[in-house]
Amino acid sequence: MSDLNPEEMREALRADLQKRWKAELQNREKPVPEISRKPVRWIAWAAAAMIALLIGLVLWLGSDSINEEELFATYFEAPINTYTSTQRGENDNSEIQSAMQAYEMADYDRALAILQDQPDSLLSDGASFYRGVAALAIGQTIEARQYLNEAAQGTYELSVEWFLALCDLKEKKYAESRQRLENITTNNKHPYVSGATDLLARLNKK
Amino acid sequence: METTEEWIRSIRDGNEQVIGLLYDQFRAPFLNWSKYHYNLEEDDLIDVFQDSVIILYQKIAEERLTSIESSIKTYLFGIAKYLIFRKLKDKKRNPVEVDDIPDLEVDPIYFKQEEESERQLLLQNAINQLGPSCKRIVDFFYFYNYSLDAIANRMRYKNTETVKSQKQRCMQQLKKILESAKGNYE
Repeated sequence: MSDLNPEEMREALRADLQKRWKAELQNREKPVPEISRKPVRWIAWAAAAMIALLIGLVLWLGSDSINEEELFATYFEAPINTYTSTQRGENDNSEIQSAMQAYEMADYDRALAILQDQPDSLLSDGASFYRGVAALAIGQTIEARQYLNEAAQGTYELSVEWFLALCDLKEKKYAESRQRLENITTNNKHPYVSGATDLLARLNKK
Repeated sequence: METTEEWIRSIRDGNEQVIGLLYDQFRAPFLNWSKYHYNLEEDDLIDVFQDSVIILYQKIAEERLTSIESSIKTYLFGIAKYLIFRKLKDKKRNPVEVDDIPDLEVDPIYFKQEEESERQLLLQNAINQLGPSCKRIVDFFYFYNYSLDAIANRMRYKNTETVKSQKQRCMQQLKKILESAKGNYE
């Protein structure tokens, strides 16, 4: 695909805004149904009972559907910082120290913002990995995936696979998530084999 | 919001909710005014008003309109008057000139294109798949015409170099999404 020019970007953003807000404003025009003041008849009671029954059925069936937010919240845990405590040289950089301090305080927005400031040429797999985890922690899955993939070939390879599985889960890509988790469970020495086995079992139950 | 300047400032800040606020505040006065003056059905007038609010927002957001001498309500009604005239012409009805509202023209870029190109549609979808911070950067840069400095201030980045590198990353992501979409489409 050829390079994107500013004018077509502008046109796309304009069109997107127009469509979204036209739909929103049309939605505001939909009439709110009036509550009937007529006496309730037996048909209305029967209809209400049917609806209640259907809602109960849907809830009962739906309890087996995947709640990816709940699963993500259960299994996502930011790994402890082993980056600035063991690395030297690059990480004498006080900005990176600040970023990782923010990370340790679970201030992922700040950690991400500081790490993003650093020129790419100065950063290693470690920075990419923790950037990816920080982005995932605050729901920025596309950025998370990009950073995690940057760290996929180095020291953090095994952990990257786990966090990418969680990224897939958060994006409701269940098949991809299951595939990654299955890969993890084939390696008994994987740091996340226990979590992966557990999560896979829950995903497979659904 | 009280003054025209406040409306304009809020729009330039990238606050899309202003569209909803304009709509809610001026809908009733618009319908009262337009039903009195123009021979159009209420559905058509509502449709015109919705388009007018969105167009006004876009003009100010894109800096094609930077100041308004009249009130924002008068300007908004001016846009609507132009759209009403177009609708009346389509329905072969004669418009009546209403002098208290200015005659404005609306740039054709603000009219929904009947046939959007495949590339445009793919691009719109791809933009909606960007993460929130990327979408914001792209919006501020291309739609709101913010400088890198303004984006850095607005999004609390350290400096313009950070914005530049982040924007570059976002555009690379966008291209990847587009390539993938184009591949699926073909």
